[in-house]
Amino acid sequence: MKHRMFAIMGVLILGLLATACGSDATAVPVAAATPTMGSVATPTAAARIEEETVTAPAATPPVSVDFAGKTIKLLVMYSPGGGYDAVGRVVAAHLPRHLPGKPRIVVQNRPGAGGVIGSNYAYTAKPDGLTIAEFPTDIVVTQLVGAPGVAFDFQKFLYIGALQKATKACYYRTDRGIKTIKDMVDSPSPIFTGGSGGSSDVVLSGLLKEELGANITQVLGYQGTADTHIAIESGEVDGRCTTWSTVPASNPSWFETTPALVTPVIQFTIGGPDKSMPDVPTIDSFRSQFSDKGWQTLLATIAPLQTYRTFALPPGAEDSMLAAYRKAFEAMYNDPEFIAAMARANRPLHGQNGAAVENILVNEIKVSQEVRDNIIRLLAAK
Amino acid sequence: MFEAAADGLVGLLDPFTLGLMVIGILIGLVVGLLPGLGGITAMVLMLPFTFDMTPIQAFSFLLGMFVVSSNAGELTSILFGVPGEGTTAATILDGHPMAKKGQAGRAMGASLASSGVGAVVGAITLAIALPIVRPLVLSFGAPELFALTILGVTFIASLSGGSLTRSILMGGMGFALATVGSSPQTGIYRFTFGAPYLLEGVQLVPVALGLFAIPEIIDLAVRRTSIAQADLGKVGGVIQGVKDAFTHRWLVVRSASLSAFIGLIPGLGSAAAQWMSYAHAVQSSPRQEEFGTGRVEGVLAPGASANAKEGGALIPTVAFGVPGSLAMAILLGAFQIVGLVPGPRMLTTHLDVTFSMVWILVIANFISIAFLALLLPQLVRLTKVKGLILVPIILAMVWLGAFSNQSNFGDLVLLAVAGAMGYAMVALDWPRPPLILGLVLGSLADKNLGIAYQRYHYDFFTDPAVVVILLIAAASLVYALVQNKRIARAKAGLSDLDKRAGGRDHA
Repeated sequence: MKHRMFAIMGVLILGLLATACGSDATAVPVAAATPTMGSVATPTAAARIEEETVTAPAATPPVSVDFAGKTIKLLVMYSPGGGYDAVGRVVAAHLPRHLPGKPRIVVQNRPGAGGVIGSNYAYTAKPDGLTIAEFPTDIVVTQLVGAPGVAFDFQKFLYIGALQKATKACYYRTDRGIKTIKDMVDSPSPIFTGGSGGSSDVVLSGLLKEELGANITQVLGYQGTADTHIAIESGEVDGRCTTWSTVPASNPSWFETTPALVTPVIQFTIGGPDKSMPDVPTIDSFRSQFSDKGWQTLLATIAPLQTYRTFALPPGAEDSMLAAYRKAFEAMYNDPEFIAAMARANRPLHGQNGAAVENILVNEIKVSQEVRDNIIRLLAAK
Repeated sequence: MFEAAADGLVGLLDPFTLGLMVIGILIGLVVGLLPGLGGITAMVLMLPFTFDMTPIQAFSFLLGMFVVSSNAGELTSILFGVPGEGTTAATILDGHPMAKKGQAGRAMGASLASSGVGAVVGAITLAIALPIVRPLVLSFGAPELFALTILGVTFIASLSGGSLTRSILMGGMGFALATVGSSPQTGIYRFTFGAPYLLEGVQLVPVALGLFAIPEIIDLAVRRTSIAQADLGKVGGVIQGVKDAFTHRWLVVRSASLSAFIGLIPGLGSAAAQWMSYAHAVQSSPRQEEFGTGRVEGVLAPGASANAKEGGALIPTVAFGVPGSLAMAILLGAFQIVGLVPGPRMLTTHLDVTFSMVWILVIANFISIAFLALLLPQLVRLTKVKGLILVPIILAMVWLGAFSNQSNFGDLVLLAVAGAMGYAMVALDWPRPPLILGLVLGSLADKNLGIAYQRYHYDFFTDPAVVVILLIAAASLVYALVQNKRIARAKAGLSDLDKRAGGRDHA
């Protein structure tokens, strides 16, 4: 009897080891696949030029990219259960259909240090196409301010595409009577604005206060959206600045009353309002009141948000690999099943293809030391 | 409301849904019985399978898995002295000494019985609380939460096992460790020494595993015997354990209600619930000096807490989208997958779904207890197996458990450091529970004090609710001080009983 118990324990343990070391298990096909990849890859110079001149992904990826029987690891830099995780898992379920060879995609969570740990890991992952990452947008600011532990360069990742656009807005309880920026400046009592310390939302509130003179007092330390929204609902704080789409998505009941519990006062978009807030003033209508340094700080903070829920390959992946992923990503983006799954998860699609993402993240973001220092100072919310 | 409760039950009583629950339970059973690995790991791995399920099916599957693994985790705590999950170490304090005394069967019977009662009490508490839960939760702002964490800190005094000074020092150390990582207010990194691993703070799971499991494993290896040092024959009194749960029924009921309440307040976190229940068992016992040497009350209270606290944690998860525990965070992921939005509608339009989750907790608990009861005789045998055979297996499981926390090698380093510390603490008779409780409560106090100060400055100390909670805290502290003196005197007379939690006879 004793022996049987051991046998059972042994089998359980072996099984568990195989599951727990999912990363290593997937590494086996990687090693096996390398010779094939190596022999076919090394695309010709012509192929490369084609890749660079065409903004859309190359029409047909070389036949060489074939994932048949492979397992691809999708790295999510946050814990299971959050928005990044939810979107990552929808993609893991729907992207394989569109990749050559219909591989399996497994999500691997690599949380830690606000995405830094996972991004470091993705940056140094083998660029064989069997590791892709859901790129954490906040990481751009994190890298720019030189946060400890950053060992990657976001401008070197190879971008596959983005699923959403995030427009930040500041919104306040309607019964607080703040409808415009002027109300915020004229408010005799401080406007308590909640948020999480160290997030880029803090920079936006800080800019409203410093550049436009809004009478804001930041109350920081809440852990994420739901936590801050309880504080808004209970009246502990008056409002918050963050990605607007999460507000109606996570609190539909706020908008069932007339008037709604909160009202957006300003949105941080450049060149036209967000579809969901056609009548809310955009920040560029206050451009003239901003100092040059303040405006550049604002741009550096909000530019990455145009590419929310971005997916990327580690630096060094072959062009044919990138092209295959970009093509599959676009096909997935237009796939009715995928669209339905994203709608079910309350994640409205507003994506961009890989070339467009690359343009924003790699070409548009250029930051001076002065702007960096300003972001660092505003993040500390002094 | 009764209609919704009935609807929730009917929705659940579908053969396919119940089948999914049983499959979930079987998966959870395998993972849960492995020391060091908990239901969280299983839930994460199984989350993608919920894509094509209806909400009730998905919750049956995931919650069934979680319930059984938390029950099984209690059993591994008793058998091996290894927490089933990092946050459930309280059972070890008296459960493992019982196993050493050859009473593993009694301890496991007590644990399962109290867990069953706990789930029911938790469910009833929830059903009563549902209509008032939103106003109740909204009335707890940062000042009140800060005061509650201070009240929690006073429980440290009850976990001291006699030496109040050492206990306070360890609690303070837990608080200090909780400040590692980014400041909740400024995002500035504190005490990270340039190590990326520390940016997220000191993780609870590797610390708890290291402090409690490693000393036991070393002890087992050094002792060169089996876990049970005395043989009380047969199954070792499972029935006696079940009887114990009914003898101490009010302790079980109080522990379950307390835990359901702690789980219910978002931001308080259910990690503290088991420790508070254990502390309550100590406080309310006339024989406090014997805790840590294998009192059955020390198993009953955390056992009752195990599922009751998750029942409580369900509420902020469904009503506000704030997960009250790690398991609930994963459940929130399932919410998004099946397209449900947590919020007031879960208490009105979707009340039947919420009720079905309460039912799932109760039904899954009874199915899992039945499964585990069948396995008990085999599990008791494990305590008679030679230690040298068990040591490598348990050790490997503990390392895996720590690693599955974040899949970061830093977790392994932290486990080793905490293990060395735990061994030294046992050898020198320093209490370990205050350190864990300090670590759990420290980050909550840090966050809520910061928010309260930014919002109200020092005015929040005049808030009536804060004043009342702080007065209770003061009373609890004075009571503990008096009791401690008494324990110290009793202990001086009972020096032969001075075998501390997981303590070793040669220490």
